[in-house]
Amino acid sequence: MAGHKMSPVAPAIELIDVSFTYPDGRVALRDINLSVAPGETLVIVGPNGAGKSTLLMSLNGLNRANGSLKIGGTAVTDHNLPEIRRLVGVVFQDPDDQLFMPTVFDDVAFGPLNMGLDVHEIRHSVEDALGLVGLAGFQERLSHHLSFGEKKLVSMASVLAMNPKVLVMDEPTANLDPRAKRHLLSILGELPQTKVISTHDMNAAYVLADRVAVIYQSELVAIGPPAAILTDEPRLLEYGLELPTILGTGRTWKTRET
Amino acid sequence: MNSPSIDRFSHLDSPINRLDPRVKTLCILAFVLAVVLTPPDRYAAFFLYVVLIFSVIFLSEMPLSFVLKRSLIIVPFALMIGLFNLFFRPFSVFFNILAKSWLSVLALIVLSGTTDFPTLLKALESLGVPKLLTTILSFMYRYIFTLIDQVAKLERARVARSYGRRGLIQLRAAGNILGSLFINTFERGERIYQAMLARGYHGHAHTTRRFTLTRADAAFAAYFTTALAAIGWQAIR
Ligand SMILES: Nc1ncnc2c1ncn2[C@@H]1O[C@H](COP(=O)(O)OP(=O)(O)OP(=O)(O)O)[C@@H](O)[C@H]1O
Ligand SMILES: [Mg+2]
Repeated sequence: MAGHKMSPVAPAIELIDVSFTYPDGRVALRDINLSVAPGETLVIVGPNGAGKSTLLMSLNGLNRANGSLKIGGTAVTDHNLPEIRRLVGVVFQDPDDQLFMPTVFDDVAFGPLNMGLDVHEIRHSVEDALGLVGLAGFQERLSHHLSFGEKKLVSMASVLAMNPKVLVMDEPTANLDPRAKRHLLSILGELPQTKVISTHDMNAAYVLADRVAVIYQSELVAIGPPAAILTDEPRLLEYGLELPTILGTGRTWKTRET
Repeated sequence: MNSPSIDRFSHLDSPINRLDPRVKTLCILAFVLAVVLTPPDRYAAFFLYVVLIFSVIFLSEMPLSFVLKRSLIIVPFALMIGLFNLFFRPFSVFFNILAKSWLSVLALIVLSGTTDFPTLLKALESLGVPKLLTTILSFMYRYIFTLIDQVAKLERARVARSYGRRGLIQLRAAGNILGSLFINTFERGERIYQAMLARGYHGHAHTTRRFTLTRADAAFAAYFTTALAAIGWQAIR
């Protein structure tokens, strides 16, 4: 995949010496250097409180981090925020935070409306986005009556409707049942966007990632292809992680629905 | 989650459900105004109001038991005020309070029962209700059950850890529940705002839905307002 070869194109994401301190003084990111190629999937792993969410929320300027942060060559600055928000789509961990409109249609249409599309285009992009996540025809459903898995998929659709270049997802598979998880992973596998995904699920990390980054105590401590990072058991244990279970069984993980 | 909601029957496909929500809103508003402004001793007029509103309820195909049960919520309040008045004023005042409040509630049940809440908000918006107000209502509608769930969770956590002790400790626990509910809600608000920003929100929301008037809307409006005018006219004559 794109991540393995050095290409002359500008990286989709480039972080140089990025640090972030919460207002209460808690340092959550320390000197992060990292670059993601266009179309690459970077999976971020690390124990609770390591700083994964903080890093993800910095990518579109929701957390205003120090250091140089560029998306497709555009620096994340106050002035560029509208463009950055269009380039970077963020799917939050709790879908109840993301689906704030009463109906699914209104929610998925929220981003496109803010982008100033006309009514016709909006209907289309809502339809397309819902189709992408396998929820065609859900337009008139009420957000608060959806199941957790459906809410998760609608939050994804609401971000995909804005046609972002970079997709940022915070623990997308958390709290999903095995089938919903496979469904989500197969959708993710097919999306062409550059992706940055945090997870506690080592199996998901193994199948999704072009590269895996390990964040530990606010620092980036390892980055590389999953076959190198996720097979080094002593180091994984040191960082509070574990081997993907699919490695031991010799099974390959089916990500596609049958 | 599937908590009962006020617009439970809004998915029915009755003639009333299909009406333009703006027409419905204006008709119901006119009805409530007419009822409230009718002099207290015009019993015939009140009878006709009941007939009129039940003709609409019948058309709406909502179960009668649902409508009646819903309409009873006003009775304790109306009864309290009514009984208080019974000591000082003639019977017509007591009747007046009960009849007017019950009729108004019935009318509002017709409106809210046959229109799903998001559509109702859009109708209000296109009738000139400030966007800020409808936005607040739409968040309320979206999060009220999430909030109720959260209270239930906190309460369960409290029960699980309080070994049947009562009194001051209970009170203090209740205080803590309120406190953490406040923090939860506040922080959720913050996260929702971030989610809105992340999707390009910049201070004012836009809408897509447009309503179109049909012949059925005109017919209903004509029927309803004529009937209303006739009742009102014979009442004040
Ligand atoms: N709003 C905040 N104010 C102060 N400190 C915070 C805030 N949010 C997070 N932190 C702290 O910053 C650190 C990193 O948090 P972060 O949420 O990024 O961790 P994480 O890696 O996403 O963890 P998890 O796997 O549990 O989601 C934690 O120590 C956390 O307590
Ligand atoms: Mg997190």
